[in-house]
Amino acid sequence: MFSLRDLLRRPGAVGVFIILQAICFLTIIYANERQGGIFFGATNNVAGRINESRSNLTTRLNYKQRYDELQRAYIDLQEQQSSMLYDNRAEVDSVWGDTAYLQKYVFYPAKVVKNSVTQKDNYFIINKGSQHHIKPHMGVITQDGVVGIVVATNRYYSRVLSILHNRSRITAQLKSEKVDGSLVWDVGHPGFLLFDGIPSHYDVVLGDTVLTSPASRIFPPNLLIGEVVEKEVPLGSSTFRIKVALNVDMRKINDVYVVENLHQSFIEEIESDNRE
Amino acid sequence: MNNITIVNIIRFILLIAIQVLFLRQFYYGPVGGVYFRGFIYPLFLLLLPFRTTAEIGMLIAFGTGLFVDLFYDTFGIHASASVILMAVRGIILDRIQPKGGYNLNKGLTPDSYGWNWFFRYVFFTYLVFSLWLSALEVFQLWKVGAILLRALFILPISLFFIFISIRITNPRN
Repeated sequence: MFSLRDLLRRPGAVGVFIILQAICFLTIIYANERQGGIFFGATNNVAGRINESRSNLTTRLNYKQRYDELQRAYIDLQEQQSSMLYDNRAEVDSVWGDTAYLQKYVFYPAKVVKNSVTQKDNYFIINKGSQHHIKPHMGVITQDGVVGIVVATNRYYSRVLSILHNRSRITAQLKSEKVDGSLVWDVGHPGFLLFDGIPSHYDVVLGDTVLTSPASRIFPPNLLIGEVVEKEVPLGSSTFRIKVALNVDMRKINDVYVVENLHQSFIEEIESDNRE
Repeated sequence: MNNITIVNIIRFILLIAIQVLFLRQFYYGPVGGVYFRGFIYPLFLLLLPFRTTAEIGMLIAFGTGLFVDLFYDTFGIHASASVILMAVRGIILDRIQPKGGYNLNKGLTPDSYGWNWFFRYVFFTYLVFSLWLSALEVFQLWKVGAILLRALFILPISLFFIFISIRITNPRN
């Protein structure tokens, strides 16, 4: 007689065995209620699990959609705020018409695809470019505050000069005193900026809020930047040296908005107009 | 048709008759329930002539099993168990080969090779048969306990009836 090795050497026997067992198996699952129920129940389980994970995915896509809606709502809200609009009224008491206020800022949502905070001069890259109307010198903000200025764009991406950059200068205002200064990065911790140019006779309070200035050509006014945590008047200086804790965590920026000032060109034009 | 063929046909008819007319009552009757049952019909497959090839043996086993299935309303289960029994028959025969090997002219009976050999032959083939049958009945392989419990009842009860019938008839072929 044959051993297992002989059996495997006889493909005929193995073939007959497999075919007969396959027929038996199919008969069992199709002709027996219990076995069929278990078998098809198990396959349904697998199908059920696939369906479940697909619905999870759909939920996540729905979240994405919901997020986009919220982003849109935020943008609408920001763009319609009175401080964001250009007051087109000739007289203050004139009846408000359609042209009483003009839209001055446009917000473009974008995502940060590459970010750095540890260099001396930091940049980050966002996933929108010239095709999405992004141009150099546009401001970049998040819902938590100002983060940078676009310096270069190509078709799909833009490079943003982070506020954590040696050359970054943001015109900002102390909320209580309404006095402007400029924010620079005193290379070091990514959570703090230096607020320069506040004359020493102003009353600077610790905890005071620092906002974007209405004089800024790039950013809309009154956007939160941070709060005063340290102040001193260096020896022989007539201005404060103020340390500002950033409200936005630069290490975690992800969703940003690029702000276009629709009136920037008009301002620049009139600035460079030399007629007297 | 020679003598051995006729003997096998008669054995087939007798064993199937005992199985479905007598042993099946254990299954459907008030006493037994699911567990108290034995299967004597595979003895027909075990006593098929030694020279039966594996292919032919499995085809015969498939037919026999299907026939039993008709009476048990378990379409395919006995056919599958019979086919696996026939498939392992050759392997087990090879493992328990008696001194001097097998004689082509003798039947696979205690009369030819002794009771000790016959017991091992029936025990190992029935072990595989019982486990396979139980597994197919339960059909959920992770329920190891249920499968083993069923096999634990099938194996000794079947062996009991097989040895009684062999004792009574003491076949040569």
